[in-house]
Amino acid sequence: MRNLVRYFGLTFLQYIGVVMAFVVLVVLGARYTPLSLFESYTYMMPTMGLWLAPLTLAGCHSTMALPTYFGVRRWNTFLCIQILAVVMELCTLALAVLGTTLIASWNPEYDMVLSVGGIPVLLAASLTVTEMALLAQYLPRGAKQRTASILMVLIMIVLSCSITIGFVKAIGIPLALFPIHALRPGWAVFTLVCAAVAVILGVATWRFYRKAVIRL
Amino acid sequence: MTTITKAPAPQPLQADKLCKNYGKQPVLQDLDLTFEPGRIYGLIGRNGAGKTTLLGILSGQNYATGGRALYGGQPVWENSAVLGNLHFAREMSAASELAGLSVKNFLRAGRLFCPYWDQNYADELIKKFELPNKMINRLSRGQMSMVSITAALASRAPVTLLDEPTAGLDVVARERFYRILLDEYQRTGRTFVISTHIIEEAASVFEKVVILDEGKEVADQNTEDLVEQFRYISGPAAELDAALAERGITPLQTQVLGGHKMVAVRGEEALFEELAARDGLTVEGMNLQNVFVALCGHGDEEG
Repeated sequence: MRNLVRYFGLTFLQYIGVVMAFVVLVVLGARYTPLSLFESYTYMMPTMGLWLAPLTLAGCHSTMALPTYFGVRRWNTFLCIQILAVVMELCTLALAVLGTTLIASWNPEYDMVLSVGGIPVLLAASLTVTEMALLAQYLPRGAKQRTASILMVLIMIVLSCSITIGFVKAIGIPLALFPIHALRPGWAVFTLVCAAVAVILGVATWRFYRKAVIRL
Repeated sequence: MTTITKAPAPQPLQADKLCKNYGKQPVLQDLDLTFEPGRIYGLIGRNGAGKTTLLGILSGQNYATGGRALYGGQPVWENSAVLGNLHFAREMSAASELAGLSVKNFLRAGRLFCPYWDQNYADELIKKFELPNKMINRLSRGQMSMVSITAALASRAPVTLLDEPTAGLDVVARERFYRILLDEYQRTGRTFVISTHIIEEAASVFEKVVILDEGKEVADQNTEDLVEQFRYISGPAAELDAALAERGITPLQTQVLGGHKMVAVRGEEALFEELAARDGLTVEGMNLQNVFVALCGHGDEEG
């Protein structure tokens, strides 16, 4: 297990480096420039876990195959990638909350779209998308293409929504569902549904990965 | 300083009533087979005979529909105690999922996960094969085979399975590979199972040979003993047919050229001596490749 952590650690470090660079850039941009561009980016920050992490982990199929190729148990590899997904998502969301809080602290014009209470909501949503991305790697060709298409549509919806929210916020229209918080009834239901779907997709991923032929 | 854990002695690797279907297509059917420890096996069969599937299941890289793979009596599937003792070097492809990885990162994974990995040996092999540190998909087919061979040998796994290790290698590189393999075998006594289509070249390396045909084992013997059981008998068609009919022999393979006929026959030394004594008939020995064609050609008749 220690060697798996070392192996996947490289993916994690590369990923978190990109996220940190993005957050630092947005925070500095919002702090030191008058550009509204950074305001939009501020609202996009929390959604990074929804698209960047699944895209990174989808490319991990190769790294999931490699430990098994060299004799690691499939269950250990699967467990490690699941833990990696949760850690990646949590770090992304924590950095996003930190970034938006910083920006809001010195610029009251920025409305907080995400607080610590919103992390479970986005974590559940992000894990759903991530599990779908992992599952897509192990499905038979036809189903794989269909799932990948659904995934791309979901990612585009998330990106479009976050950009739209950014614009709507920028022109000062209040949004009923914001800030995102797990204790608000609408978001609570959303979180539970996402968590359940993530678990179902995770089980399906394991069932397919368990029997997958390891190829090089 | 890197510490190398000494690999334990190899144990028998066994296929116990292995079955594998891809959809409705059966690939392996109730296969019972034992690879004895400390030998070099040749695994041969036609395309689609189930060689790669068998090696995949034996190493835990493929899932058996029925039966099980055992190493030293223990199940291979998802068994950490066993998996580290086996290494299955697959043929790589430029379109594969790992193709975006560099040679260095590929071997780094080997170093991390193989319990008996020998980095000095890996470095030595990289030098011998003159392998560049490029992305795998930028390597030639032969260089991909060399990467696969390097990982397999440096893994120092007690049982090492190699699927088409010489694919894409030129003659010089193939000879170099077999020299390195024999050298490693003499030094360590590891078990090697090598699947190949270039049979004649590898025949002298194989101590034992397993022949698969349509998912079933048709031979599992010492190479020399197996080859000794086969002969080509040739002569005028009428005389040859009469001689075969007298002894109730069904030829495995027949080639006809005008009035002349040549057949491949399996039998005992006494039978071959009798046939050789008949006027007009000639008895000739066969090599492993001929034996394979005779066993798996399903009586191909050539004129």
